[in-house]
Amino acid sequence: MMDLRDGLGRIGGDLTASSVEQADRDLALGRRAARRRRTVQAAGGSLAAAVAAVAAISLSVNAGPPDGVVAGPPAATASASPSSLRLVSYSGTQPEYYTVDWVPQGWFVQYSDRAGLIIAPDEAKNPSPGVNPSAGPLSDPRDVTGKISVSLSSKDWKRLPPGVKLTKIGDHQGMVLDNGGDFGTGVVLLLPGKGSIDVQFAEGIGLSEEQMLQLAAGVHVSPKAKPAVG
Amino acid sequence: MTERDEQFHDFALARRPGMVHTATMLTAGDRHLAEDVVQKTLASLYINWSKFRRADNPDGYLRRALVNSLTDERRLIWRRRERSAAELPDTPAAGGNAEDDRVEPLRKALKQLPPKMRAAVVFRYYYDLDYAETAEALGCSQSTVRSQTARALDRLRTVLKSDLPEPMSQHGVH
Repeated sequence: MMDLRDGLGRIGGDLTASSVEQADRDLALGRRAARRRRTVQAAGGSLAAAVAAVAAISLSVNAGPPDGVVAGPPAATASASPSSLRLVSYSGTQPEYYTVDWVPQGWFVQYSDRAGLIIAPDEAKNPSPGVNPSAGPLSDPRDVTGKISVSLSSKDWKRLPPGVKLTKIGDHQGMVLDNGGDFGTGVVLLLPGKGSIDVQFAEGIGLSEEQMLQLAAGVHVSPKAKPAVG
Repeated sequence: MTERDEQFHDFALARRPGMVHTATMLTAGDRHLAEDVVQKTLASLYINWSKFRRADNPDGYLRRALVNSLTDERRLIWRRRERSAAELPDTPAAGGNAEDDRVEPLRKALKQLPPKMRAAVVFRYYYDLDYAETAEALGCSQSTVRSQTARALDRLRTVLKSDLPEPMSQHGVH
């Protein structure tokens, strides 16, 4: 027989002391998160004009600014809303299982497989002087930090998150999800009977929501693509 | 280094081990996920440092932040994909000895519980929080905590084959 409390404690593992170096890393990550938050807050004003121009639907999942998210149909052009990034037609080699119409200027498809792809900024392959190109999340093709990820999901979304309503996004019904905190924004495009396309935008990358919707609407899935397990 | 940075640094140095311990229980022994959750929680605390410092109940604030980070982490669709693609093993917190073999059935049973139900068990029966404190950490009502813990204990009872606390009592409340 096992006592529940004793079992839980064993699952929690040993309490090992932290190090000054670890605290240094935590502090550095905290500072970085704060900078990203400030970037998003600074970009927040640009959303207002875009939202006023379209039939917007409030889709806030986590209440309160600056995490509230408002979604509307994508704009006709890439430059309709001011932001720190501009969308351009993707001219690089298309991934095997997906077609991407739009990417932020200077970004590229860093990784792809049957279940999805990752779009990363140019500095992932051309790092600044003094940056080790083989280290860090940007250069890791499986790390989504600071990037845009597209994944095919088998989730049918028959039950929507509280407060979320479907809206028209490109050719699809879809929704915008505020992932909260430092987790950025997700745009979900429903594929009736086939699951969904999930496009995740890391927080603070500099795209307006209007641009996120436009980019997501420009993702097309090959019949050969397959959702990830799980 | 600013005063805020110094305070945060000292806090992280002192409290991180306990946060990882708690997060590992909340994730049913997934140490990798627990580390991620703690990292996100600390980043969130740094952003909201003055609010955290002003909180009437800093420990309660911290528990709530951990649960929110765990919820956020699970919301990341890509993360689930990434983990499955990497074919990570269903790794217990430790492994390879008789003690670990004893705890493994409990860990697996906990893993089957929904995250907030699992968190209710951890806060109520490991940390001995009362229903009000547990409800505050989970962002739900006390009645929800009661029903969640009752259902959780029903499930765990068959695994542990031992006498578990009566879910409707205030067992162990400090």
